[in-house]
Amino acid sequence: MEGLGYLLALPRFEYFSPKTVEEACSLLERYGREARLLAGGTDLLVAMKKGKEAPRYLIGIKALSDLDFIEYDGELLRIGALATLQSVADAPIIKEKFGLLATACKKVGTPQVRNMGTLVGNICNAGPSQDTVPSLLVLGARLKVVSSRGERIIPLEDFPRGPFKTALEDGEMVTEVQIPTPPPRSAGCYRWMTKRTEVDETLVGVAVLVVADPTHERCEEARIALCSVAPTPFRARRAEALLRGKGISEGLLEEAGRAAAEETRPRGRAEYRKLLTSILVKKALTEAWENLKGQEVVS
Amino acid sequence: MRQYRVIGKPLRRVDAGVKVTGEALFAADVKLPNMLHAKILRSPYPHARILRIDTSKTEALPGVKAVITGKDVGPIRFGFVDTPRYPADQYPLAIDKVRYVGEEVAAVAATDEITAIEALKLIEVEYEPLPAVFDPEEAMKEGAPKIHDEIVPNTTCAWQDWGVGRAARPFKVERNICATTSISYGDIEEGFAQSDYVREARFFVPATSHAAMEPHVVVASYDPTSGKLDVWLCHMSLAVKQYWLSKTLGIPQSKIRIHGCYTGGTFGGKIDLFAHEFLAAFLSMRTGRPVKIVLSREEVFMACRLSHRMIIDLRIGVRADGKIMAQHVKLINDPGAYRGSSPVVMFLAHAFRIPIYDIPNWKHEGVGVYTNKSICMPRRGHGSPQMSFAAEQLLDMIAEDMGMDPAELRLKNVRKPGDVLPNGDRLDSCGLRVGIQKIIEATGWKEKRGRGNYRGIGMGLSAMFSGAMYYPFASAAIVKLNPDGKATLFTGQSEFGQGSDTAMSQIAAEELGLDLEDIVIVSGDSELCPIDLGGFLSGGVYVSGEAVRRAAEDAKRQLLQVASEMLDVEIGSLQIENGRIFPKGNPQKGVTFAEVVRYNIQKHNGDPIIGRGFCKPVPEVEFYPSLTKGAGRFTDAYGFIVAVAEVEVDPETGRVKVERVTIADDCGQPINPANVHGQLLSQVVMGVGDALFEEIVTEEGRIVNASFEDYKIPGVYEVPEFVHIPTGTFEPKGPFGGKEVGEGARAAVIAAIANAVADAIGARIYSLPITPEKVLEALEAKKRSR
Amino acid sequence: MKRLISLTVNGENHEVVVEPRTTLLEVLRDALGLTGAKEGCSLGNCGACTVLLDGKPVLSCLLLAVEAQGKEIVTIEGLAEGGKLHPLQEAFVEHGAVQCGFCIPGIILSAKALLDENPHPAEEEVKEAISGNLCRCTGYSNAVRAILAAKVKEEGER
Repeated sequence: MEGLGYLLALPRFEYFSPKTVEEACSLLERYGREARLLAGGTDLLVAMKKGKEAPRYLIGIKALSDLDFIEYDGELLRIGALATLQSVADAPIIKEKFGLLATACKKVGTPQVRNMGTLVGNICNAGPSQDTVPSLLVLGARLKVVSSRGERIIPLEDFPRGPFKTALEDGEMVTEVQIPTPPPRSAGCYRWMTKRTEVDETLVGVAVLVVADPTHERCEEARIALCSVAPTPFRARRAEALLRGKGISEGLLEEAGRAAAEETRPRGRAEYRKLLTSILVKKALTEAWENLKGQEVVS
Repeated sequence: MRQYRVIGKPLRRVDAGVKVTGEALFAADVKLPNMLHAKILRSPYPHARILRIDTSKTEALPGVKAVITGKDVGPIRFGFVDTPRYPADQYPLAIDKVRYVGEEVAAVAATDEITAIEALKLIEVEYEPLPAVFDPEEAMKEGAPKIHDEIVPNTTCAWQDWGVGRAARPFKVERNICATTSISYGDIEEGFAQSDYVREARFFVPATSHAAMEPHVVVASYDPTSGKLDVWLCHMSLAVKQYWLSKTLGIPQSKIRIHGCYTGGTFGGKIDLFAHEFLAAFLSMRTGRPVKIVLSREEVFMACRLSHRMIIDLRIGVRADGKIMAQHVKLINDPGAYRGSSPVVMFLAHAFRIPIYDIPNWKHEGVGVYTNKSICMPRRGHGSPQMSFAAEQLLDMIAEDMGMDPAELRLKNVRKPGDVLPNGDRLDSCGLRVGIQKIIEATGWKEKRGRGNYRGIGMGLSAMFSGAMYYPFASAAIVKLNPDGKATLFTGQSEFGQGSDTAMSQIAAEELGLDLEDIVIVSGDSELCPIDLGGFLSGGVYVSGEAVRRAAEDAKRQLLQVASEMLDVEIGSLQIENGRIFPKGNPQKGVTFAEVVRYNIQKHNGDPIIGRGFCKPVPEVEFYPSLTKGAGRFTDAYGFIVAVAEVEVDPETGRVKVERVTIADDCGQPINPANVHGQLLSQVVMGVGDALFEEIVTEEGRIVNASFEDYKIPGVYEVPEFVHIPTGTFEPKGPFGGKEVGEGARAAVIAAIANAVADAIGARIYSLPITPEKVLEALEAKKRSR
Repeated sequence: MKRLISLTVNGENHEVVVEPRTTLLEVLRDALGLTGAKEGCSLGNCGACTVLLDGKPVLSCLLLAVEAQGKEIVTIEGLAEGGKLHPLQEAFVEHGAVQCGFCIPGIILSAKALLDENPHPAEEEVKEAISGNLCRCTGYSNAVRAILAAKVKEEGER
């Protein structure tokens, strides 16, 4: 559809609806680069209509109902590949214990998009501004990847390899996201600003998780992840290092914000994005720290 | 305020029922037997010569029924403007050159859409890219790429066909200039000499998209036996489409039927003839089958018009006592690769401002310049939003210099009822003064102005015509009485969301003393309905509504005449109410409409009762005023808007939140207050989009944000609080006192928001949209200048 | 490669022949003549193609018809019963929430999904429910009021 992308029409393709993950993997392996997995379709079908992608084979995985789950066993939260963004945003256990992930999922798209799009699909799209990734990064998420050759676990940090490129090899598919319970004495949040309107692509997205030391006086560890300010979402390590083991003050949070901004490599609206990064990092850290202090009162 | 039976009541829209059930027919819903689907091949270059087009592979593809290029169609000129001075400059398919990304190059009709698309892939076009120019000031320089050569009309021009009488002449394009305008009166030098405060500034307004929810679509079906062409398309005027289809296809107008169907929003983006409309008809004639062309949203952005880009150099002079003495406008209009509505928008940028302030010395100079970008046409206000953004801000700047409340400065200068404009238009109604006074009170203007804390309040004024002398120069209507005594109304107005079906029905019902439910309306069909000005000249109520009223009045006259005979009483002593006619004070002795109709048929040779009515926008003149000189009567009544916006700015991020917009509107007597409220709220929300984030962004002439992902329009979260203050004037010449309301407010809202932001941050922003970065930059600049 | 699929739309079963690339929107409009769902942007940004899939609002322009099998699909044409308007449809007419009408089927369905799950939504919840439906004509406020009013009507009818 080169050059005719303006017609916004799907090209012709062949469609498979495998009944098992094994079947899906073997199809992926058989057709390699000519095949793409189709979950919610809100990213892939859009790219195909624009003429940016033209896979000859689509492997629809909606029939793999075993992959539609959200399970928490007290230690590990597991979200299956077919769990929609809306179901993750609404899940009581996620709202309660992994609140920033619920917030991030709720931010994506519109109600219709969230009913169709999956969390795993959002991660695998691997764009610079995937809202769900920063929260997952600070939560230490991992991806379970399956192929006919076996299984492996990829830490989310190692997953995006560049804009719209992932660490997946031929024949591999992500079957679930695994998220460990956040450490005790921790609180997190996801904050963002959009490009123009409220329902819009994220201009700068910031997820933080702060862990207090046993006295609740100092920050034992701070995790800061950003999206839409670099080719892929990333952890702002230098900003995090500034906070490790320190007592929290407004000045320190501002410094952390500035440090995070310096770690960004935005393309469009670069100066403004750097400014927003420093503002939002400070705001997110402040909110998370306030939440932590609130927790102290409860416990 | 007079009390009416149905006028002035917020009655339910007559078209809402079919729209909430999904039954309403839009052009995209039309399916005809044996129908083909066509797709268009568009230029990927902003400027290139077409060296060769090879369609041989395309023709061989099974399912393809026709492939056409510029060679098949020929140099058939069309355009929005086609006057002796400015001959139309567009072609349905490019002939030797393409001039903007998205221009139509070839078309294929096939049995289904995917085949048509596959067929397009097989068309081989060899282009020779040419240097392109995208900035109008660059385009006017020596040595800039030449976008057009001499434009030689090969047919009569529209003006000639419409009776102006002067033949079209070749238009020699120099320095890429497509049109000029120069309007002046008084003595501009003298005006500035008498001014104590003079300010000047340059303002920039980008192109925006109408972004109506319905993408453009056409279904055309030509029958060779009868020579008739049936068309379904989205539009704002049957007459404009019918005339141009006739002219370009060589089919007599009476043989072209534009079928009635609903249009899904227009805002000015569906007025002029589009290439795809011609192409569908042409392909239908060629294949002998109906042809449907549905444009994608991206095609709509590229090829279905944008609003006009303008660079405005404005200078205003004010005397110490607050009287505005002089206004000098130098405007550069960038309509894109073809003239679009350039001469009109430049004229209107003047014509929509002159009714607002009484300024004795005025000079308005404009130049339209070709660039290799998408074509610009009217968008809701057509010149008023751009010019108001500049003028309303400059007035605020001068008020600040003078230490005067900007509302006060406006009160000292706004026109009043009875004023006569330099071109002869008379304001028989004008609610500006009372609007400003009411809004100052309602918004707490004085207390809020300059309150600091990054909260601001600002005002903007606008005016809008109520119809103008443009083809077909009049509206007419027919009211037919039925055997059951109810009435059927035929009007050429088309319902595209603005509520005309309801408003026209209310007018007819009021005149006849019936209820809204007693009127059946037949609208928007060129074969069933009489001529109409259409909905893009803002004359829906004032002109078409008046034609409807006169038709109902004519029917009423006949009813009374017959009733007087039946009852053997003088007409003058009869009363009409509720579908009955009776002597005043004696309702028992009366006759029903049904009885009158029956009597008339029986006793008067079969005469059923049919009323006809017609109305010219400006009774005293025959044609549109001179676009270049601005001389001549323009319209018979103006709608006025006073808008106040309240904003809050985050000084850290630069983000602007519009908290509230208040509008005092003068639309004369509202025909349907719910409709009026809907039109105003619509323009408030549109204004927020224009003011804060809407703009078409191009790279080397290509629109990079041609989707609703990348071009954002306001969603439900962007809606501010809206307060409506009807000013309750009465336009004596309008139907039941009504005039324009659908188009003027957008300009006032944008200006009010711009002025509110300036009040909030103490600094000015001279270009739209007012982005967070511009706000931060303005704040920075203010800090540095201290 | 064409295939025969079976779709349940507004409680009725239909068998249609589609290609894998055929979207649910195309099937509804072209094969089944249910033209209430509209194509406004093709990329899932405007919501004019919204239909309900097992009660949830989805974008039919981004759903392959082959993947809509075995689901309950509800379009705007399925709301009125026996010629009587659904309370939401009635409310939209009553509150002046309709102008050109192109976005209306989508907005009403998004609202229906909300009210079916939450008969007493707050204003913020209503706005969220229709945040994926763009309207260029009305300015949204009347639609929000209509949806808030519709719940009252439903209550009264019980």
